[in-house]
Amino acid sequence: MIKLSPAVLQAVSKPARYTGGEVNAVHKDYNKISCSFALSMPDVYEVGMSNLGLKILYEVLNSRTDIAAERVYTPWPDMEEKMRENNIPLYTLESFRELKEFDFIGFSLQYELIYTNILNMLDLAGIPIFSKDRTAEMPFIIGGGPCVYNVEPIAEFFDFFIIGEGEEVILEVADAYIKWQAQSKTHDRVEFLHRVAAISGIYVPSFYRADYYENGLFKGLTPLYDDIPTTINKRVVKDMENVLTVEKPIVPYINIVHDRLMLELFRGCSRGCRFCQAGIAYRPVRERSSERLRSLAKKMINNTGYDEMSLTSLSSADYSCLPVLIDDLTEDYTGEKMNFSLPSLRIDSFSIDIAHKLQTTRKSGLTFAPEAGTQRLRDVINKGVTEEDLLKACSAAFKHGWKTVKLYFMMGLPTETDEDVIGIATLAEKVVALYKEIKGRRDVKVTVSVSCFVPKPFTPFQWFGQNSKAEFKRKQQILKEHINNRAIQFNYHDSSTSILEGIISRGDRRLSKVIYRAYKKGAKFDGWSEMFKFPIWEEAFAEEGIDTSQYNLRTRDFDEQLPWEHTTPGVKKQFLINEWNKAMQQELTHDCRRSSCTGCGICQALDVGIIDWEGNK
Amino acid sequence: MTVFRIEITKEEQLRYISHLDYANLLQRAIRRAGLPAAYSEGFNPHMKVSFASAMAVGVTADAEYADVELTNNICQPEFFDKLKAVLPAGMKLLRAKEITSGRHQSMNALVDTALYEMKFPDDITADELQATIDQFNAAPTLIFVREKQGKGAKKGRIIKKEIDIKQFLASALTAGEADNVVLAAIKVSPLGSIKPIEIINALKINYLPTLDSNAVLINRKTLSAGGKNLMDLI
Repeated sequence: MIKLSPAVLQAVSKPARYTGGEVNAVHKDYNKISCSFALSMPDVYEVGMSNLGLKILYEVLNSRTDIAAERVYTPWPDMEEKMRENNIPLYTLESFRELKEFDFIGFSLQYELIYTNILNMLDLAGIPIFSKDRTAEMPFIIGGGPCVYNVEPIAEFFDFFIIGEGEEVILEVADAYIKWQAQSKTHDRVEFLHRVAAISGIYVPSFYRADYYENGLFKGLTPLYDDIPTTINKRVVKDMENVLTVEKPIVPYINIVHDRLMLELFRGCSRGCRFCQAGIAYRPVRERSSERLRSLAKKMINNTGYDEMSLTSLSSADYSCLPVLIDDLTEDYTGEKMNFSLPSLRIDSFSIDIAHKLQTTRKSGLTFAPEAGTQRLRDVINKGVTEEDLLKACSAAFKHGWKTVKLYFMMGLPTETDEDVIGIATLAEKVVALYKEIKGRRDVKVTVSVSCFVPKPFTPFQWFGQNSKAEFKRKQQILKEHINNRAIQFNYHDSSTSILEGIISRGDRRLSKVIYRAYKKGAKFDGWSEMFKFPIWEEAFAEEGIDTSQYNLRTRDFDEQLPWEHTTPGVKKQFLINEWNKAMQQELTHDCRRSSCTGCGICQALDVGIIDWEGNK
Repeated sequence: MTVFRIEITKEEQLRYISHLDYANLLQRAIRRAGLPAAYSEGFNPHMKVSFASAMAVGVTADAEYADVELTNNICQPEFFDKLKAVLPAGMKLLRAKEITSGRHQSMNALVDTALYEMKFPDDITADELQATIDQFNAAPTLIFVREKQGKGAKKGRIIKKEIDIKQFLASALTAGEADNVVLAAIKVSPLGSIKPIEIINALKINYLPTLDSNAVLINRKTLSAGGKNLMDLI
């Protein structure tokens, strides 16, 4: 057990990040434990503690009396320094046992720019960074989460990956481990990896060989054994109603990023925005019933004492029983100062009315995501939102008393012209003018946030060459010149992080060496702009002889083998190609949720169906 | 409407949380307990709980006090049991007393003395510590330079202010019963006060150059007004 001295804790910022003991944290008796997990999001405590996926896994695993699941996050550099100085290995926040003593260490892979933190954490734990160097007594390192749809850049660091939704398969992995421990005489790691590779949704990267053409392009991935699948489909929860989920979340002592309860209304979104990876990754839409949600809400509130709850989903306003649920919840908590909020708003007046109903006391800003500045480009990305929709939504918001609106856009989308970029400014101007027309005043604030588009695997834009750094800069400049209204605030950031994300998200196995080299040169917390050092990465790529443009800037051919195709959400390649072609024609594709199937192939490949309570009636 | 004054602890498990987080912790516990908490009016309603003091990160307390306002009448035993049952580890409910007088003064304004114990690390010997206490007590004044991050127009600058530590002490420093413990009774007044860590740093600068200030553990033993415990004022 690790014991931390006050000399260490009082010398670092926010020491409560490292001391555990929070309300609802689970402390198990290790005499009864046959399998232990250290669950991690490789980011700082406040970010890691806000992750819903890990909350779910924590409760699902700890619901078993023979399994222990504990937490570990990335120490902030001041704490890392103290730990290295005092030879304190990385430990978990429940039992304060060293990470090395666990059977599994699970990392949630939320975005590419936290990969170096994983390497750093393994090093702090005294665990070899490359999977090939790990010996029998060491933990298995598992990865899961949204980045699994291309894990090749980190393939060499992990023993295996869980593709798709983890709450069911993680127990299958634990059972396989318990059985293996009982049966195996050798405790040879490879023997166990063969066992887990047989579980649906598990990808063991060391069981595959990657080949490349002489010109450097990816040729293919070949299984090294006969019993290993060539493709690994994601896991999906078919019965959202009865699957174990969060009822007793940990209440942190310190303020975290999302310091509120999260009630997951449904999983999936089938609106079909062509840039969106989550839209494909979490298909099909599966709702929980409003009765189930009402009872979950009650349990969570009673168990935590939180006064704020977010009704979470990819597009919460699409929940078919939302009005009923909100009536139920507000009825249950009248007079108790309970705040319910929607994290994402659809651009229509229905959403505004709901938001108004929820926020009877406080009017914080509203956020909309038109994503692109012109109708033409919004049709390319299948956003399905018109200028009229946005102005109607804003008009409803202004009438209800809101005076702050945030608009999210992307820059660098396929077919984008300067006219589309300027369209962002024009649209924002119209929103400002609308406010003046409705309220007769000028005290409106419109924030325009523009991010740099990163094409992602398993989207119709997966073949598209990302804009260069210079091109992003030029477009940002153009937009800046066209925003002259003092009511409009323009937020954007340097494209370097998006460029790196663009390289890694469509990279292949050869990038493991680059990530390792960047880590060795001091890259950490790359997702934090104040810590991000692009020159380190440029050096690392150069030293490994990697031409980054082949990964991010090059537009690929449809018939090219893609390095990520074997870990799949189950979508048909032909569907993505069709969607790309329709994008070029500015043709829309409808939402399949309540009308005909659009042929993405996921329901058929995974034998799962849409669950839509309103549609079912 | 009922107001209860409670006496609660802030123990080792909660040493490193801030005053705001400690307050949050109590408020969430009150909600878990299902007690009928009163809220302020306005756009941003907050639970009517007021504390006697704001304790710094790194400080524990044998006793902290809060006044909790409820909308309904509820008897003391019920209040005590319900709250006690839901408090997290490190926050123990010692006493609860209903405030019966119609108007009570805020504790914040009443408190005049806080008694702290400071446990020094083992690399400081008992003799060194006693010598330090003696020198400190013998000195007529002890100037300490307080550094603050500038705010507003002075943002980014460090503002220095000289203060005489001794004027904020209610009595001389004494050695505690346990090994390496120093007791300090600090005056609390509207004119300001001094933090125990500032005393420790001043001792380090003037008498104990090898001391690692971060290794000293600070605990507040009592908080009082006119020599009386805050529970006895009501």
